[in-house]
Amino acid sequence: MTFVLSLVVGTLFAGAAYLMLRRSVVKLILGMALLSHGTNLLLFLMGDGVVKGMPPFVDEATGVTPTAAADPLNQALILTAIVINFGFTAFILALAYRANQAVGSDDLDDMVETDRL
Amino acid sequence: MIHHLFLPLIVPLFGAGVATIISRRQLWVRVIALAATLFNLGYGIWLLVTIATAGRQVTQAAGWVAPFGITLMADGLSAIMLALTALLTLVTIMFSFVTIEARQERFYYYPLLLLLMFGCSGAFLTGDLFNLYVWFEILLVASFGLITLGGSRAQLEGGLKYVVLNLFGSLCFLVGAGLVYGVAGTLNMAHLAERLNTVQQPSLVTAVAGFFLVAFGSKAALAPLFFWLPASYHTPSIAVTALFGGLLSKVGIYALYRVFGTVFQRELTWLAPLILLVAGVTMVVGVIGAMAQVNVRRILAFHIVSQVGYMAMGLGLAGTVGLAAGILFMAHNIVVKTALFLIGGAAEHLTGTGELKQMGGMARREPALAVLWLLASFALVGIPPLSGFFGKLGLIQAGVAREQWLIVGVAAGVSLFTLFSMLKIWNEVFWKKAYSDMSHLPRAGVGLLAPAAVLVLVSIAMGLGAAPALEYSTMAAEQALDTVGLVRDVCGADGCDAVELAVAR
Amino acid sequence: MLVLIVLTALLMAPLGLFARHESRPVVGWILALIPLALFVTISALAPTVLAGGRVEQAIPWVPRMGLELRFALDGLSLLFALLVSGIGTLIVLYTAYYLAGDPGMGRFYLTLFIFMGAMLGLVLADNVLTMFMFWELTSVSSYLLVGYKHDYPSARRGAQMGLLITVGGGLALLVGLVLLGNAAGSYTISEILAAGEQIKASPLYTPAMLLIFAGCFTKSAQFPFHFWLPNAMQAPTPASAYLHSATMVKAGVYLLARLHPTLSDTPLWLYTLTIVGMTTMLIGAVTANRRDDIKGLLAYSTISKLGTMVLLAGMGGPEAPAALVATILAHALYKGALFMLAGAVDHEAGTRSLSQLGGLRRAMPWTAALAILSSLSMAGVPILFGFVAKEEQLYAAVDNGLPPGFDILVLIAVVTSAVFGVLYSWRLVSGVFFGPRGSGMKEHVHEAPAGMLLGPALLTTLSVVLPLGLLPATATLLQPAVNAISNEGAKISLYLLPSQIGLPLILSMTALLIGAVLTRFEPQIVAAPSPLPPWLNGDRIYDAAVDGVLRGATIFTRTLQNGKLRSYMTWAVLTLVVVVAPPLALFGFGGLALPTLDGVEPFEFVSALLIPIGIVATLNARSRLGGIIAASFVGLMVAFIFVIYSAPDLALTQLLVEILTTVFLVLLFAVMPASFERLSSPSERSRDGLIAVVAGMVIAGVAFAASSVTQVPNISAAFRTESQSQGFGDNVVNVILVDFRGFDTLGEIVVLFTALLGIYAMLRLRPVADPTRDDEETPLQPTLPEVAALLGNGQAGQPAPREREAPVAGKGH
Repeated sequence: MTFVLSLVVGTLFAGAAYLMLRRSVVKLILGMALLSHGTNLLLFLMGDGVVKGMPPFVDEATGVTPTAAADPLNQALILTAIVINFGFTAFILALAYRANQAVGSDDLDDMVETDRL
Repeated sequence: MIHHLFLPLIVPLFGAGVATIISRRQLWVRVIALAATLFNLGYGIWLLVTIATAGRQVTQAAGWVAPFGITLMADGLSAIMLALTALLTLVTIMFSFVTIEARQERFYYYPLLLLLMFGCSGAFLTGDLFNLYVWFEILLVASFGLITLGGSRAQLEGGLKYVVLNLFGSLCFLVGAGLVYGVAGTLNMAHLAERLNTVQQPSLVTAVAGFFLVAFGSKAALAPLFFWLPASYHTPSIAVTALFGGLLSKVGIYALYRVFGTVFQRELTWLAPLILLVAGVTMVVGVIGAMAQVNVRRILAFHIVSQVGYMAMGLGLAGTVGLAAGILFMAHNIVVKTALFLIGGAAEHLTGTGELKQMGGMARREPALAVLWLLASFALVGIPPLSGFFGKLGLIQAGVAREQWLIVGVAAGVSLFTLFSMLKIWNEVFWKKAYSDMSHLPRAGVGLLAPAAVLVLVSIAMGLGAAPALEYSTMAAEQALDTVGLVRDVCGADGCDAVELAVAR
Repeated sequence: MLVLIVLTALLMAPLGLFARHESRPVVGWILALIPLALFVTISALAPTVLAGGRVEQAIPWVPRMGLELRFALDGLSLLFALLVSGIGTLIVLYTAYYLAGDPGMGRFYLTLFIFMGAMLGLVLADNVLTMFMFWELTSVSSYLLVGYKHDYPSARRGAQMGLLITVGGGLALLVGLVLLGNAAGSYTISEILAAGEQIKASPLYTPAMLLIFAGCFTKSAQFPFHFWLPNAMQAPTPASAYLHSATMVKAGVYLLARLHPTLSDTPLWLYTLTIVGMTTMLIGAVTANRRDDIKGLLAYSTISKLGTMVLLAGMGGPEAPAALVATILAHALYKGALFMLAGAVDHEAGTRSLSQLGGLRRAMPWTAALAILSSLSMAGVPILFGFVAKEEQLYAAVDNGLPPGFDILVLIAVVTSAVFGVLYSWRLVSGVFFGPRGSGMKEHVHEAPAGMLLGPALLTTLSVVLPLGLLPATATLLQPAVNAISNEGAKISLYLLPSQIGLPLILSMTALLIGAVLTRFEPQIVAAPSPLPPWLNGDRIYDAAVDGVLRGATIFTRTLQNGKLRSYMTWAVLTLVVVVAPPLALFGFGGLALPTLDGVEPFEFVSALLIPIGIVATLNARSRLGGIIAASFVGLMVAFIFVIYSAPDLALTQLLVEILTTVFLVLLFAVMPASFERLSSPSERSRDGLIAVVAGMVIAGVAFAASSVTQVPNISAAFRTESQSQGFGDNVVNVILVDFRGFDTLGEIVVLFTALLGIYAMLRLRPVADPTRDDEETPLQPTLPEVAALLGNGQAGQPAPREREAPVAGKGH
């Protein structure tokens, strides 16, 4: 299943890349959302691969987590990444909104003044 | 007892928190900002001395033993960057006292500055790859806040590009960190240095290293990932531009030095030609961009790109001598770049515009400013005996020693064009007659000149004291490349794998 | 002592600021004591040198780079140091009169002293890197002096031209010196010279020499770099006299002379210096005859003489070193004097143009007398010192080290240059002092003040007096310099009249004669068209080059930095692909287990498949709301994947974040026009699609590879075992977040906090001119109505009007 999920990750990145190359700010943001999903899913595949049905909880009996359980460190990293990217998403949403207000359009080609020579 | 390495993190964080809460009391906020920065500067200097005498400083966050917990480590390179960050933030704050708009000040300007310093300091002190990612994000989001503070259309336009391209770089970093974990099973830098050499699939590791190259190259504004910098750096207030210009892209270079000097050492030898190519292209493209501009800050912004190429050259000339030259160059450049932004910015502040056509007459009107500019710009170009000469000489000597004639030639040639574009500013802002009647404009006070003067003095000191500076840079380079010593300091004499095997049954 | 000599001028420089425009000339006399003291000190050290010894001193600076402040006084540096300090004294004095009343006089003195210190450092340096440092410092101080009257565009241009050319050459010089040091194993000059054979045998010899030549040729205004020198005449005359004739421009010649002893007997040296020197000599001489401006004439004659010096340094032969030394001295004496006198004329008569001057010998008798004498020296008329030097030149040229055929050419060139020398000397004198009274002069012209004439008088006196019985003494003084230059112990002997009539004397008299005859044809010669093609004009080429470079830079930058985010993104994505794909391809996926689908249940497959379907839906969405919903669907499916594969906390977090994000998206963007416009063209779409697909494949490849190769035990094993015993928690992920890697979590919280600050400031703080701005801008804790109002500022249902705000460049306060 890791293989299938790798392909899914690939499609997420492809979709994200395509959207981020568009002229609309909203599409850009949607692309960034897809990008973070792709990243999270990619991270998810690291470690020992994906494991069905064995979340990393400590087994009451033995006092340790079974070795076959999913990789906890991986998940912790992704969690941190999700929250951080959420912060960024919120910021970029506010920024895009304000930019749209200031420029009056959704088109990124209208936002080229700072580079104009 | 809190280990001393936590102090430069706790103080700014605490300061930022308090300053946010009492954000309406301008005087107290300023005091807190100043105090926190002075503390970090003092600590930074103390750390520089301590590392020179006692070697690398290491501790574990929350006491969890390496490689499981997060390691904090400081070597010569970290200390240099830490001290310079504090110096720059201090000088920027001093400059802000005179130039910042009251409205912006109220909206969390100083907390954001302190958080930026917090993020940078943490990045320089961490010994864990994922933790480095978190620190990068902290300093990134703080920079987002600062660059858009004020909300002008230019800031929003430029800010959008800044944010998007830097987020792309961040995500590359995240992917890279994840892939490293997937390939090597650990995130601790010392442990990685130990393990990556034994991984069976070196090509895959190189592919993973590529992600870091793109990520840090993005942050450092290397070609062709630099476009966000000239698009956005000239839009916020002058103080913010000055701080960013001197500091932020160098954090990316630090990460390149750290991650490729310590963790991906084997890959560095293979990637070195690519890095040299990128360095050369960056130098050239940056200076061409600078020559085309007609606005003070935009010229200086493109110079940042060009100069970062030199620092990448130091990395590409893999080895202690090249890295030491790169570190020396970087240290000098941090100081001088910000000084130039502050001086040019002061002229802009006084004249009311940064467009070269509409400026002029500054040499007559503000001779002190003119002298500062001359010193700083000659330092940048590398006229001896100012600091830039030694950085440049070091890189040329290192390049000749490695017989990399092309990059040496490019480095020398670009120097001439850098001079050419700096002369443009000198001619248009200082030497030529004033564009319009300037008698009603304010004069430069000590508050406006002092921050830049401090930095220029530091640069002169670096020039006169080039020997100790080079010795320290060489020590820093040796420490950065010394993975054996790092593993010993972090994990103990048996190495990280031994610790890991002992704990995991 | 030597270090002190160099540092004195540099450190005393700020004293120059005491001279203000209201100062009396006595200030100049006082300031002149500084260089005078230096001159005396150096003279006091002279006996050691004359006895064949050296005075040395070294202070370490950056040992690791081979850079130390190492100075040595030998014959050559003694000669130059005396010239620099001696003429410097006279110039300081002269300036007090020339710039009297000028408000910038203090600034001029400051820079002049800095230059003096730098020049002394240059000639006294015994380490090539030290010498280079001072070399660059002289370029910089020259720049500041030429641009003294910086209000004038011509002054700025002249200064910039000089700086760019000399610094450009300087960069080449630096690399060349580093190569030289590498080949020799040391940066100390004496050690470099001792290692001459080793250097010449090294492959670095040719590139090092060529680069060093570039530096010397730019500094000493050799063809084709000579054109900056006439433009440097924008400087006030004291600077022109000091830097651009007597001292700085000779720095290149100095370096060539320094390296001459053991590095000069190669074809590279011989031919390069000969050809360049000869060309410069002739071009300078010819052009000097066509210049109307006195300073321009003198500048070109300086160029010509520098060419002669380079030729002498290159041509080889037993007499060349002696001739070089004699020429250096003679030239400094008469050129320094002539420049100062030209300045005096300019100061008194108000013009520098030969066509506007004339007949001044009555109004300025002393100036005229001195000028005539110095010009005779320049022309090489016996019995002045210039003649003695010219004789030496001819001796050297007759007996030079070039192969037959070539050596005659050199001889002819030297004679020709002498002929033209007579011509322009005559032009200068007759144009200014003889003939009818000039039309463009001031009404009442009177003699220059005595103080202004003191310097030229001294120098002219030396030109006159030295040949009258002081020649043997002069020869003794110059012998150490010759020793320093030549490798065969050549002897210098200066004769007024040789013991027998030889070829040199005949040639010299012939040249004088021809020159005298040609003076009849001066108007025709001046009016004749230039022998050089019109495009081979250094000035024009420089201006065109500067303009071209700026234009090219603008076009290049406009194309590359075009302001479009998607261009920048394209670069980023492509870079990623280019950097990651090749090593990945090299990896080749060999040895990886083939993916199997055992244990995979259909629902897993379907869940995974729903994600690409959601992506396609997002891409094809026509309305913003539709796109948002599709993207949100993808996020939910990712959460579901997390659920399936044993990551409950992850799924929970993902779900919450997804909900919040969707709410924000709808809140902020559903207010825009409902549908997306089709903005890109089909070809752009396909191109972007291709890039996207390639990027996706690379990522998929890397992801699969990395997830399949772990054999090493990873550190999470420890977390599994220690979570309860050390962390006291059953949910390992939580324990990691809160305890083991709590430091990360602290960071993540700070990120949220900082983002909050930034967002709030962005929504609240708007530019003063912004119509959507709130009047009260206090950072309070916003209440719910305020949040609504915040967002409601962008009116629901319609896009904000297309208002352009104030121009964006630079106004970011």
